[in-house]
Amino acid sequence: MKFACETPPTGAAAQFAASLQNKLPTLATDRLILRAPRVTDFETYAEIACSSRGAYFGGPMSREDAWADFASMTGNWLLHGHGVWTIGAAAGPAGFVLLGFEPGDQEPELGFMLTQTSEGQRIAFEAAQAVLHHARTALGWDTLVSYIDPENRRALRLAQRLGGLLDGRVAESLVYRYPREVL
Amino acid sequence: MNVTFSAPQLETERLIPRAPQLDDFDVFADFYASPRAHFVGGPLSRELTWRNLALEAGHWVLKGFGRWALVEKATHQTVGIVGLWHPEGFPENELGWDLFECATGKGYATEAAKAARNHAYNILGWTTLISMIDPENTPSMRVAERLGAAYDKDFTHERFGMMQIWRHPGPQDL
Repeated sequence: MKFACETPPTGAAAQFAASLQNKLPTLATDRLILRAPRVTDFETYAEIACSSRGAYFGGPMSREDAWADFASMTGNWLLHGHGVWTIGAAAGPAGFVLLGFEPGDQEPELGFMLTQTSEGQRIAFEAAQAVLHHARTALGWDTLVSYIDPENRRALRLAQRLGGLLDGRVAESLVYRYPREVL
Repeated sequence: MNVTFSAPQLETERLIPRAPQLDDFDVFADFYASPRAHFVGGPLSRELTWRNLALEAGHWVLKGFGRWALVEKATHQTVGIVGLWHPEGFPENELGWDLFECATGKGYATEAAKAARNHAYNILGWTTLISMIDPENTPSMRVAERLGAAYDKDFTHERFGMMQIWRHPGPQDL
């Protein structure tokens, strides 16, 4: 069931939302545009977070929790100056890539959440590489990490392909650290 | 790199409304952990308070409206959060007010809510507005009355249970 709050804004509110979204950095890769999240992207986030795919990052979530999570990843832009991008692919939103920093995190983290149908095309790799580069060049970071569920084999492989190195554990998660050379 | 946001400016006599920001977190955590937060979904852990603060900020980006953190002109303290939003599970856009302990009894909620309501009607072009109030939250009902709102009907929220919908006068009645 959809919530009434998922209705996209209209009129002056829509214009103001667009003006805020336009302030967020857009990253282009060969095949993808990483752009500011919009209300209409929530359907894609719910598809991921409310399914078994959400199990590796606190789910499967209720639609209500997914909405709160989606809005708070978006709000991270205002609180920290970095946050979530929607991965725009030719066929529509392929998922999300996140520079997050929330309670429980020891430092900023790179996260990636893809739809089922977008897997196996190196989309997460391409998006994550662009975000690592952004972390270095635009944010001036020397390192960041991904916190990964030990059972999330796809994410572990992706972190390794991106040049991440295992750097201990935090709570239940493995920490993969991206050194400066791969940013 | 810096992402700088400004919420639309609201004029009020004693408060500076602005977008929620990172250094509001501690005062938010204190409020949402306190018994006063009982009527607004609390008490909440620091972790859930973080999510709420970030959600309030993200609401601006996604919807183009949201709630303003209120800075008291006299003290430069953040004393509450008031404004327009659409929390999940609410039937329509809400004018909501959460005032922190130190700032109650001064008419701040009324002052800020009036300014936020004017923004909804004059800038966003809305024609109606509700406030959702816990049936036991009489101080909040007094604020609603001072704003000219009246009890409309009951509404059962999936998580909060029974709530009262108070409806504000429309733009033509102000």
